Amino acid sequence: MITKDAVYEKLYEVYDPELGVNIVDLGLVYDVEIIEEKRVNVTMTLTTPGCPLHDSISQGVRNAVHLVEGVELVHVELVWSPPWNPEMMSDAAKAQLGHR
Amino acid sequence: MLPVSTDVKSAGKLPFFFLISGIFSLLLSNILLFWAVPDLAAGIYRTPTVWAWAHLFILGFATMVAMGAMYQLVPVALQVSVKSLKLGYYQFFIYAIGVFGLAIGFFSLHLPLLIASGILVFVGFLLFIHNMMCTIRQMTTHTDISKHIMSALIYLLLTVLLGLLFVLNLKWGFLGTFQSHLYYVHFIMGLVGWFTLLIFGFSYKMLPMFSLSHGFGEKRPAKVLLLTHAGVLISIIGALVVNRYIVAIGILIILSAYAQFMLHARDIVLKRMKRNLDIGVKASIVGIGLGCLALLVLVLFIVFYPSEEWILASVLLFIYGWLGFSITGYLYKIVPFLWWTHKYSSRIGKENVPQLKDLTSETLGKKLFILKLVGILLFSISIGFHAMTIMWIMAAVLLVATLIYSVVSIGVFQK
Repeated sequence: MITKDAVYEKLYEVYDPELGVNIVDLGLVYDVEIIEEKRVNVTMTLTTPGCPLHDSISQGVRNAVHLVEGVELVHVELVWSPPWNPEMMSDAAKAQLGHR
Repeated sequence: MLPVSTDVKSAGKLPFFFLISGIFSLLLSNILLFWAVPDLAAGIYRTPTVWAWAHLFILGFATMVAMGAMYQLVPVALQVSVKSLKLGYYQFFIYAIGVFGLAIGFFSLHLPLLIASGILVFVGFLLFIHNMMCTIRQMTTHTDISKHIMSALIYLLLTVLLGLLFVLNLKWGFLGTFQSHLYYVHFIMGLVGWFTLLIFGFSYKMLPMFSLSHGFGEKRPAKVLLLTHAGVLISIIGALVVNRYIVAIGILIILSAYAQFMLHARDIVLKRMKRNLDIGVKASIVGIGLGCLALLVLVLFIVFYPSEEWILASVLLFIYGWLGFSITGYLYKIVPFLWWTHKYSSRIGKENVPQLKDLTSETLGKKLFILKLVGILLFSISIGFHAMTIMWIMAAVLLVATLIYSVVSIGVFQK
């Protein structure tokens, strides 16, 4: 059975290659939905509209979630609204970027 | 939640062709600088060797990189696909052959080669401008970035038309003494209108992106654009009516555009989330300061001590300092990014992949940019004092820095 925790565990392994911080701690993942025990919908955003890593990060999410046992289909929906802001980052992410 | 449009296509491998040729030209131009030293030390620039060096640096390095960066960044920053990538490849080969032909033609003062290469460069530019204008026209709403880029492209077209006129004048000599006035128009439209507006425009996207900055003001870019247009126009009028005070007023207005841009950049940097900026970004920021310094010194010399050698020194500081630092700085970020996207983007999430910072060396970057800074400042000052020995030494320093830069940049492709 696919669980949200299992999906998030894999998403923690997807890093923004520019910042070196994983996308969950960055606050980019808005929602994870599991449908019919085999499909996973990930709703997420990017730190800036027109982020050049747009395709790479989406592909990374698809790759990572596909590694969760039982997942047959992954759909990544990128959204602008609500817009990302630094407050969405975890304390760990802020610390990694040099904030105390 | 509003879904993001995902139908924007990247430029694929096309930017690599331009960026690699650009780095190669930078290295060649630095070698050619040794031949240009005696002329520059004498305070003269209208010589075949200086023209060969200047065109290789400006057309071969700076413009080649600018074109490659535009093919890469226009889809990113403006969210539109490049109109025709196929045309982009044709344009690259036509332009590249023309630029190298032009450099050889100037160096050997071979008139038929100059004319043939000049025409190739001209065609290459026209194809590029057409491709980019068609790309930008796909946008439904224009932004500050697109307005800066469109303005830059118009100045590029005007600069190129004048350049072609100069090449044809070599054969038929129809411009007479008016040519010297048009040189200034050529410089100001190319260096400020084209390059400066382009760097300003892309910086509005790249600086916040590389520093993870949010919540900064958005009003200054419109002022920057208006002031730059006004400054360029007034200084051109000054050059055409041969009044150095009007030229100085125009440059002061351009300087005020830089000041507005600097304040905007400062706002972005202060609101950043990434505390430690990468060396490439820092170098680009240093470039802004060098551009301001060069313009300030230029105005002072035009007004109080209008000697050819000091004006030449200021222009060189502007070219090597502002253009050189900004472009090489951003390129230090763009090359790893392009390579990472090409090689690793399909593997992310499946396996451990390197981060962008793993593809270059920050430590080496710091050293080479310090070398470049010392080289540029002392080389420029030495022109004013006709200090040829120091110029030789600084040309060597710049060559070492460029060699390291080229090795690090090309080394990215092996990671």
